[in-house]
Amino acid sequence: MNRRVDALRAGPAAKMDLVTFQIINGALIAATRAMAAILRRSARSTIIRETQDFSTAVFDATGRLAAQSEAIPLHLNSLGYSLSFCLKDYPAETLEADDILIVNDPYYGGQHLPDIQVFSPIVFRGSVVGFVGNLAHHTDLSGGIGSMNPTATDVFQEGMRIPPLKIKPARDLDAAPGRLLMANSRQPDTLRADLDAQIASNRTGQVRVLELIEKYGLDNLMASIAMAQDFSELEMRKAIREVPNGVYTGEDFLDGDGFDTEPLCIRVTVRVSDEEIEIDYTGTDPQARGYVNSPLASTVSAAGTAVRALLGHPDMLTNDGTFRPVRVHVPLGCLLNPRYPAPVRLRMNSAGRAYGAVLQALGKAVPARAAACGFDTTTTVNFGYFGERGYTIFMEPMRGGMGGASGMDGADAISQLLSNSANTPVEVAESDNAFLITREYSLRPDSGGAGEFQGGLGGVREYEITVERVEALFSSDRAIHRPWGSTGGGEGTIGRVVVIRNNGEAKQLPPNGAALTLHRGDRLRVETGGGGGFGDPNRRSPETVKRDLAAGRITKQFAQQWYGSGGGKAP
Amino acid sequence: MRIGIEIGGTFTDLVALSEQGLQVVKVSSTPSEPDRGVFDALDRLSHVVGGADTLVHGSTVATNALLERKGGRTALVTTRGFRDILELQRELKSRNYDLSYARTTPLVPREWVIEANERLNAAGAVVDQLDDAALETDLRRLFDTVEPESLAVCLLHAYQNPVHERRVRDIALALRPALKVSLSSEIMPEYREYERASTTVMNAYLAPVVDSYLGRLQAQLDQRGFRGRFYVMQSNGGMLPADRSRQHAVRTLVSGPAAGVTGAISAAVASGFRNVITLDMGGTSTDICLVNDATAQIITGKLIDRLPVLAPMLDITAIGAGGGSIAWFDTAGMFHVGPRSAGAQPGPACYGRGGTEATLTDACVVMGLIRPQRFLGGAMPLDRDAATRAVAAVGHRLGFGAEAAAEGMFRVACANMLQATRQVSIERGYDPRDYAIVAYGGAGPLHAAVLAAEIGARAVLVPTHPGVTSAMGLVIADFRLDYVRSRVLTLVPENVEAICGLFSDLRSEAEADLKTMAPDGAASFDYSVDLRYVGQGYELSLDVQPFSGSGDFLANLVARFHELHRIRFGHANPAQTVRAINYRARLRVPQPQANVPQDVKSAGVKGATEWGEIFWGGGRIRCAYVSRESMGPGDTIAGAALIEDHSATTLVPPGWSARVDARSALIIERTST
Repeated sequence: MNRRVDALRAGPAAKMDLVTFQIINGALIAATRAMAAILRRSARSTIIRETQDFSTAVFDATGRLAAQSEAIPLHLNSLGYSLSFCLKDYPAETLEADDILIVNDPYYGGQHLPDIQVFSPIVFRGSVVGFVGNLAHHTDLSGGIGSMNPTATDVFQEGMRIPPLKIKPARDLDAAPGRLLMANSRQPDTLRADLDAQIASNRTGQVRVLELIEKYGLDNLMASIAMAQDFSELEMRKAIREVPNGVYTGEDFLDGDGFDTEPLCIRVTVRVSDEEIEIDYTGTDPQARGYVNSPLASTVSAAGTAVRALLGHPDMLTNDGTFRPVRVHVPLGCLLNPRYPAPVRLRMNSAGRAYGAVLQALGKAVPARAAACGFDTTTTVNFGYFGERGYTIFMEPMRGGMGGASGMDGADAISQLLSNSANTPVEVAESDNAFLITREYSLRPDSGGAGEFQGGLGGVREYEITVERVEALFSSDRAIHRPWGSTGGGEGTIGRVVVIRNNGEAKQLPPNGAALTLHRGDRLRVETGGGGGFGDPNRRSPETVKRDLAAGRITKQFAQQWYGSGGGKAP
Repeated sequence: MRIGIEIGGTFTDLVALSEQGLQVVKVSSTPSEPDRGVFDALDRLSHVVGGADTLVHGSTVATNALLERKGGRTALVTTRGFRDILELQRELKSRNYDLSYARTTPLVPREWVIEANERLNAAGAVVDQLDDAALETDLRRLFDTVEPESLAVCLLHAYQNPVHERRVRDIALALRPALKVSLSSEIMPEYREYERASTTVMNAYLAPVVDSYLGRLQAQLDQRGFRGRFYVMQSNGGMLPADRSRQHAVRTLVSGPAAGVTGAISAAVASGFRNVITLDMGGTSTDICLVNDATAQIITGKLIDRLPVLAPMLDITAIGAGGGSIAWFDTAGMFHVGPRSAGAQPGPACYGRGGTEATLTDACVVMGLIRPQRFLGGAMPLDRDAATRAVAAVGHRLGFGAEAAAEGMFRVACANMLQATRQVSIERGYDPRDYAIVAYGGAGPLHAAVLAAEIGARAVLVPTHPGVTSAMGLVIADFRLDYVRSRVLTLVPENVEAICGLFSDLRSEAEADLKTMAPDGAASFDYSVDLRYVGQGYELSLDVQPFSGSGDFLANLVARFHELHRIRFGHANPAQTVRAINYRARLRVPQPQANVPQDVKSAGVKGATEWGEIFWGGGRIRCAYVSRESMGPGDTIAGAALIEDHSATTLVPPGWSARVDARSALIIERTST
């Protein structure tokens, strides 16, 4: 029997039997789901209610993740990190049940400014025994429209920073602190309603966890949380043991820093030793001038997510224990751990490369489980219309294809692995934002990388402006550097954003984003790329090629170029 | 005479209600030809079907066709630029960390989707006229190559204005008069294009199957001299004439569980309970539904086989916990019970059909809750040794003996049900202490009292025939039709007229249907409106009386919305503007409630009480075994007791007692605190 199993049996959790553990742990996970349901159903912005860009979690007394809802990996594995910053300024023993800790600052453990995290203590018989918390993406906290500014050179140009703050919502949100906060949003009512939803979500979590404590006792709850973490750690260690010891490297590139198209390199060295993994980003380019930097919290989550996805089972529990055997080293001052006050708004894409580099490195170690790179880039468009009733902001991410994997084609235009967010239905977008209509929303044939298992297709979303003037911003990447293929599979494709003026003039916009003014009849066309292919294209089954041809997912030219066939009799 | 026939996975149940009394027939289902089971059951009926005035049918034909992807060949017409509406879905994954993630395959292949040149805006105004000629060319080409049986039409914003969808139908029918056409503006006129398209496509896909099945059934009923009305159960718990159901196949997808809830409500009301939580636990899953004032909540959609379906349905939560649920350990060594199930084949280890994995039924045998010689009234003796071997293997890994492991499995299964029950009660602002649990299905009565104790429910009710509750639901179901319109209107005095106008439209539509279908009985109309704060994405539904003529209609409605929002989400914002989105009407024609006779069995010999032991609370305790047939109205028994029936066993835990009420239902209540 290995060391960890012994430790598990001998640890504090050993007092509890597996049945009681399963019952308490299931109730804890259900609490995070209840928190998520309250948040989503009562939030106001499309980014929360339709896109579902939020996460909820429960933490132990030391602020470590105990349970989480199935939401966005990039958030979850790092919520505990910002909580630790909050607790440094506001020690747990000073907190009262109706206090919340609120933070968005990437230099205090946060992600990027629109993501506000809210934590609430669980107070039992006068002492803080744990926390509940959630993160939600807010539509606007000043800075550029939707707090996005493609030409920002520091975090101040991106929006309002909220350092760790302790407030009492009932007292403060209608008073000076709340007024200051709401005054710094183009949509104050939405900000307020979404914050209320976050607070309501935490209140639900507090009640649920306290009920568990009443029922099973604090010791049992703590033991159950510790046991869940130990289980996750054990499972991850088991998975790592299957990987041959060695040193594996991976690298990928960002198209540029938002100002020019000098590629930025993300490099990783992964050292596997028995049942532990060290991920070292030494060699990654220095921090960028523009908004493409990834704060440490996002980078660490991205690295952990890659390990978890490639080596773990999709259904295994994820909590603090999952990442105990994984050490991540990111030199301070590099693109993936910038020094204050570098801008970070576009961190999703650099974090996507940090994730992809690990996927590439570990894929070399376990080729049977490897996958090709997905488009792994979120191309987000923010529209801001200032009318009689103030600002209306519409924010919509468009996603590319997943990479092919052993045994499975990549999924088409879908949320990348680091994230998990939904589209805004076109009918909802148009009902809420009468200043635009969507002219096309479809897949791009031929955009997946060739392979025995083809990369997923990218997509298209084209908007037409129906009013005199709308300000627009977009952010993206992978307009130059393609997603890599794996094990002999072809590369995926790049994306682009094009403005088509009402006189028919079309112009491709810079790869990493831009701001522009649109007028009636102008169109903005967003095209995302497809994922890389997996395995030798010659091994793709002819029936599958024929099926794809018939469905119009690939053209005859593509089939001939990569699969040496025109697909026979298909129309 | 009213006849209800319910086709389930294992059994086809028939209930016939007439002046002579109630008759119950149970035969094996015949999945390959479901109607054969129906006629097997009818043949066993002592009456002739020709004497029946009403026959209500519930079946899994539509659900099975969907799950097995055996629907009709279906094409889709959508708006130019949106051919991938079914492929893109919501761009969301149903699980994280999966490098091999695959979406559900759409029901219409990509090459059978046609884009129509047309566009409406969000207000329903025509932005681009429909190009009839181009559409006709494209349809002709498609019809010539694939000859679809069914056509779905879902155009953007058609929930606001059906004009283009109707023209598409006219053009298609001119080319192929026999084609079945489903329009999104008729099937479910609500916004969110993917969900509406998915629903419309599903209706089109199921229509040929349901149509031919019901057609066949009708023809055979005619042959047997049946001259009464033939109805089909819908997911909303109401029945609808079969010929109307043939056009709305998607509305019957979860009719089985809905029939069960309807039957359970009727039993509860008869015994004096109006607020209940229904618990239908079978072999693979458990359905849970919260009922307020004898009315189950209606939801307007859910995922079925990972595809969204918008249709009025009873708000039933299903979880993967049933008698066949298997105990297992994941790779980390964590312990689970379900959702994996041993099903009917091989079934639990104790069935002796080759199953070796420990199931919940095996655990119940080991604990002594199910006696091997008395299972299903002794019709199917169980193998206790096989159960013990299977459970002991689980115990070995838990560090427990077989009996403690069995109790552990039982507790974990109850905890899963507890989470689901909380979800439908506490999390929606309802206090379970105000509710009784109605338990049915083969395993429901065995677990209900434990669940009641956990959640604080006041009592458990087990109906007289817990095994045929769904078929009972069919014979007592109301005639019921739901109507909906979508239009975003702010709740301000200027809009009251428009809102009432929408309700008038709904009422006219319902009255027209009433005229054509002419069900027996007095019709009633209920109205509700879905409201939200400006900018929110999800609505809360409130009942309204738009024709009451009350002047504070609006003020009342707004105040009730704020209050409901506070109950459901813990906060409200009375300063904020409220919007109405969907307007709903329900036509209900209650059916004559035939008096369900109290004592349907010929009075059985009063069975002697036997004593035995069960494993409970970590040790063996003394337990009474009683036959349900031996108990008459007024009889009581204190727990620990097991009340055995031919279709289910009821557990009365220590500290609880059971009594038989005047309606022959079992009521189990707490005696000590």
